[in-house]
Amino acid sequence: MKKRIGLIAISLLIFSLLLSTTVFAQEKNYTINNGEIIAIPEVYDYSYSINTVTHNSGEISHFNQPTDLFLDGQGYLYVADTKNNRVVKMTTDGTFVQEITEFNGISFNEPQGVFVSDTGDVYISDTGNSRIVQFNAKGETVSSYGMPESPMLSDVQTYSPTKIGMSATGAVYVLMGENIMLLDSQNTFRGFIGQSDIGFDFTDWLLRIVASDEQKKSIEKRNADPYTNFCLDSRGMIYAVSRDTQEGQIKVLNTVGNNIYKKVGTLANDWQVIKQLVSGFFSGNIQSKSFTYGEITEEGMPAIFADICVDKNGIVTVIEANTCKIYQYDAQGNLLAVFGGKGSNQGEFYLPSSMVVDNEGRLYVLDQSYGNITVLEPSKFITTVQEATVAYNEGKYDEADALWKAVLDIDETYPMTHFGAGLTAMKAGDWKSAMEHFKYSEDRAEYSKAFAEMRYEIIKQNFWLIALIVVAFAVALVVLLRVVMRSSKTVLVDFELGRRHTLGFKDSLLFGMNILNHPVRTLEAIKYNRGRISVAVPAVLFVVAFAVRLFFIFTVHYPMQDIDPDEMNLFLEFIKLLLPVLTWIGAVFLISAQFDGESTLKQNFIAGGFTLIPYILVTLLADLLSQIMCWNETGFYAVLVNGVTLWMVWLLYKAVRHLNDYTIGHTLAVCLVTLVAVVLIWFVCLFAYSLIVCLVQLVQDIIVEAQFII
Amino acid sequence: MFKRHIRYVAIGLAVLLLVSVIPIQAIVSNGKSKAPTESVSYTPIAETGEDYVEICRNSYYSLLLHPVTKIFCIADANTGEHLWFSGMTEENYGNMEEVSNLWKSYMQSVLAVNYIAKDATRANNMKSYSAEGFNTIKMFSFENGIRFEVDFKVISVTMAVEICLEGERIIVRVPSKDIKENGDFVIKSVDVLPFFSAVAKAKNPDGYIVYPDGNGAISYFDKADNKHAYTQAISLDIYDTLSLETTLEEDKPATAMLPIYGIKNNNLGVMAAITEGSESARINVSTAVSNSEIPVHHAGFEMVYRNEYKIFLSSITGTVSGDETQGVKVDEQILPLDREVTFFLLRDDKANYSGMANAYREYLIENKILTKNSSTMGLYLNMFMGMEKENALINPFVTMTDFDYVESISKGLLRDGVQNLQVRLRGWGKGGYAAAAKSFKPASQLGGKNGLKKLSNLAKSNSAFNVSLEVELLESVKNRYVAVKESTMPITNELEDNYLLSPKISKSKLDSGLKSLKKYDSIEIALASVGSRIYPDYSKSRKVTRTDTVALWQKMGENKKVTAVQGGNLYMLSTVKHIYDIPMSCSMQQMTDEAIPWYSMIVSGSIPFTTTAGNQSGDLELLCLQWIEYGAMPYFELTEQSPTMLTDTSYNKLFSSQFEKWGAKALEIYKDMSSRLENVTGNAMVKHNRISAELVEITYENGCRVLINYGQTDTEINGKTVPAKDYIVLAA
Repeated sequence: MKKRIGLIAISLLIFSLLLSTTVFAQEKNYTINNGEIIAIPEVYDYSYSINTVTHNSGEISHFNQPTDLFLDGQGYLYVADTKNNRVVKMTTDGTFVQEITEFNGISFNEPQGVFVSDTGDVYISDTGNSRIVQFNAKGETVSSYGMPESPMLSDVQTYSPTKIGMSATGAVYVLMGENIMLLDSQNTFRGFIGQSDIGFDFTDWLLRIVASDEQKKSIEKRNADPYTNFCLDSRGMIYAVSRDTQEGQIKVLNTVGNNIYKKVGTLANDWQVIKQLVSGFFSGNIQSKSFTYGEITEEGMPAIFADICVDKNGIVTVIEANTCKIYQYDAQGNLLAVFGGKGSNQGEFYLPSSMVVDNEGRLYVLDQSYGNITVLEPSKFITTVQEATVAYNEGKYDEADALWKAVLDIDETYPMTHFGAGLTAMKAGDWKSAMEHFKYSEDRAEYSKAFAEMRYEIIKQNFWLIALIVVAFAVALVVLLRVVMRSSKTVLVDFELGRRHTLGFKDSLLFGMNILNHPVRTLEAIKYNRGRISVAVPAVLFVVAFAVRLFFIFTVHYPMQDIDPDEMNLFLEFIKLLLPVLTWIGAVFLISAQFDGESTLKQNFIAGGFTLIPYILVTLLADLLSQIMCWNETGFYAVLVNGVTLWMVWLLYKAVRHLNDYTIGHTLAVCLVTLVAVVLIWFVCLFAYSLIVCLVQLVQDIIVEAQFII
Repeated sequence: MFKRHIRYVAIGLAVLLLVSVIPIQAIVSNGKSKAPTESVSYTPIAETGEDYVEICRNSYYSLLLHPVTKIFCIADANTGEHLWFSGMTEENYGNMEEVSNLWKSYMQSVLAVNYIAKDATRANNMKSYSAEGFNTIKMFSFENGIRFEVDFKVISVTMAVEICLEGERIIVRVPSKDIKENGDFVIKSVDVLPFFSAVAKAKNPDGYIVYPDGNGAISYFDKADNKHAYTQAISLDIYDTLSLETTLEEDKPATAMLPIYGIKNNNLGVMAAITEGSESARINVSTAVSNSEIPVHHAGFEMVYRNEYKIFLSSITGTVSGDETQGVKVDEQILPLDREVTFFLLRDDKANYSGMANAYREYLIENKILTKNSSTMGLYLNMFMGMEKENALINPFVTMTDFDYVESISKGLLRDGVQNLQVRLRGWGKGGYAAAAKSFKPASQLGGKNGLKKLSNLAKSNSAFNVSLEVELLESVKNRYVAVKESTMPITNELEDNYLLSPKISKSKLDSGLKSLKKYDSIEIALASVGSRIYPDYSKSRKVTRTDTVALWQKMGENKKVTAVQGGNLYMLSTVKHIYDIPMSCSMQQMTDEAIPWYSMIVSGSIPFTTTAGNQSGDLELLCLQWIEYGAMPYFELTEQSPTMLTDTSYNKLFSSQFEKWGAKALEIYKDMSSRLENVTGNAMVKHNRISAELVEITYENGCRVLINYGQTDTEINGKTVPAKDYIVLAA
């Protein structure tokens, strides 16, 4: 079993390597535009760090694995200095103010959360003592709250509250384990909030069916994706980070627990791209996006955020736990900048545990490992970007325009400025430049809007001319098709009747055209007539189909583009288009030979080649059509593009049936077996390939190591 | 008659040869001629006596030696006051009774050897200190110094170190010929005088250590307590990373452009510099932070004699878990490199980082490594020309700027009054950027030979205009003719898409390339990477050490056509006219408190340099002030076309670069700086003083001062108002 998993893992790895195109970011400051990394100017400067606590007595102490940081309305920082069993209050420049170590005579035990209300009341999660304690603004003890009573908490063995927050209305939110608990001011349990639907999981379902009762117990209960941290904004909205990769790790929960944050992330790994292709086939939705924030690591792990903070303008900043990178989003979930990172220099982090932002936009990052607070100062560039997005989101478009221009002066390559510039151009009626800007910022929807406007204008101005051209084109197309079909029919009939035995290249091609409207007759003609059809035709068709695919990639209208021409991988395209057909032809010949099939390899090859004719014609037509279509009109287009695939599948099925003279049931069985065979062939090839790679690596290693030891 | 003539000619030639050889010899040897020769007579010193004995003296200082602790000390020649010590004693440390023997011997050692077993395949850091009890030290005196002969008994290694007092300098030599490895252990590296002028934390000193991280960085003694509990000591490889595993990675560790550090302790200062054998060494700096094992602020040079290299042992000898798979081995041969360290002794008003920079600058000028050169303010432009865009089918050439455009904007700028225009072209050759090393032929898409010829003619006819072609001769995307590591694997990065050409190949590529550029007689060459990269090549046919590489790079720089170099490493300073891409900050390691323009001060008045391009900073106003503080020339990296055309390429780092947008601004900044800074440009910066967090004062050698205000509000100082975000120049 283990071995098999290993094999699968190896093949998956190789497959994903073949597909992988993303390069991990090496820039220090960057943004991501549709999966592409774009360097940007410095966004935050390292300002200073608070490494120690200097008490009034002059005694210096360090933080010991601090886990929470809070900035109150007065501008004081509170640090839950967990392993020192204390909470330290200090000014933002690190001057010591106060140290809280106990409540009513009981010393704190690894406190992990601190919150200060607008009234100055200090709430501390005394995690190790299973309580939340409250002090008033004067520092006097108010109350201590233990575990609230509720049947929903019956399976909680130890109450360990960590992060804590409170809305202006007095609702208390406590992170306990991996859930956010809502309590009222009387410490009454009001439920868990923001619980996402755990959904259906096929593997889990399968496991549960086959597992014995004993095994079922050991299978972990599937929980909703855990929350890792949260904070509250001035409106009482909960900004939370979780491990949810379906709806996105960043959530903005309103008071009833609904996530109102836009679910937009980067185009994730290749498997998701494949999934997307599959789902796109059925939905016609070419550009569905996965809902993960941050970046997918090289190992395919989605980002895990350690903390989240939100500034007065709704700019959301999160810090990733493993890479220590900081991602900043606007109120709509658009990525503004990525910065920070792991390292030992100042301004770099090792194990970030908490982050807050002040009114000037400075970020304070608490590092659990280094035991320090790093203060980052926003640069002119990011401040302008933030102001521009805020102005735009508030509907102050003129102000936003001016700000986007200022950003553009610093960084022309910043994608969001092009979005802004595009909107401005739209307003000015300059559709062409708007389209260019939207294309740069990879916004297909806005691009389509601009394109639709331009199309409308052109049609309005040249209606009769365009109408004439369209009609002329349609007529020409129909006439051409008729002529071609008629002469191809003649070839077919001649061939069937044995009037002609050997077809040359041109006639073979014309003969093949009949697959479009007389597939059965064509296939039977291939099978029964002794005459010769040029094998060069299907071979050429394979090449032409590939060329048409490339042509399509390079020329299809931008909103319908599913592959960036610059990132196209020739090999991958070959695999996607021709490999399935070619392996199918080989496999079907081998399998049918075992099932009383009558077809020869040559016949299968010819039929397989002919099935590409619809693909070639429809793709060219789709390419042409796409030139005048927008994103929101993809329905018909999707039917064309996806329909041709179905057509090809159907023709391949027909070929199996008629070339071998099978019954329907027989055909289906053979197809099924062939399908398995195709997968097997691929698997074996991949496996052989991976073995060879391993072998080469081994030999290389041995040579190197031998040199080294001798 | 004829014969007699021949004799005169021969004599004349011989004299000429002699005259020309002597200065070259002097430069090459960097004062090696002063080294004590075999004829020096050494007198053994007995290991008895309670007090320091005087070894030698001059009008400034006397050199004393304690025959039992074997610590030497430099005392004031007149008052006899003990000033600098080679290690820690009760006198400069305080009570040493509680210090463990191991740490005590470390703090009193003149040499500390990092060694490894000859046949070791695993990493192990073993250290032997010269002052450890089982090692023996013989002491000798000679005319102006002391010689220690150390026998590291356990590892059967012997070494010698000589300390000479010369004027206001202490010169320390570690001769290569005296290093003997007789046993099963070999030397990896040697710390030379690791505690010379070190400062005990207990003495509450006022001072700092400065080191060449970036432009310069400083760690204050009184801020050592404010560091977090896991603060790491600083280690800077000189010129380039010694580890070949990280040298091509983006996040490679910080390195030092100059082989120097300085320690200030109240009114005493020491500027330490490696004056020979700096190509394979590192600088170690450690302040007494809370997690230090030794409560002493100290710094020193670690002379590396063997490179350590890693290898994965996954196939044969390794196991699968963790570090076990990683083997470590060191070079078989020891580097036969003589080492010399000069300590410049500084007191009172010279005992600060400005004084240190001045002392070192004077030393470099004295040794003809720097030449005083009062250059004028220049406008420096880096024009990005073009590159191939990688694509699955065809690689289209993206033309960002062509030769004609460069010519027309240059003419425009000269017409507008630019007195010194320095234009560098990047990606000008066939295939554009990243392919330039392939050939020295101008890209046809950019205007080809004729376009370049026109630029050459403009440079010829106008002395205010210089144009240089940047050539990358070190980095290569292809694995051909590349330098290899000790393990015979090529030096590369993790992605294996970047390699380093074998240094000998780089040199010959330049030579042949220059021939093809002969017809463009006024075109100059800028060498990319040469001033920031040195590396060995272990291949059999083209084997070179880092020292050989330095010599090759210097030879490249000696060509008259080569005028500029990227990176400011010391070895290129004697040959080039301009340097570019000099950092303006430091890497801000955990022990660092502040960045200072230390490098700037050292090369100021000799070599004009540029730092960050004006259009690449998000805040040009701020950058201009930094340029002035760091003495950098105004510099922009520009193009004709929009940089959005480069976003899909590997050169996607330009944010906004169109000349159309930046030309006027660049001209304005140039004019403003050249007129306001007229009196100070080309002068050496002799003092840098941060008056407050936002106010900086720089004093030039002619007495002029520049006050820079980074703050948001006007500031008044000594009756002079410095406007917010601006600067003023005060005459002497």
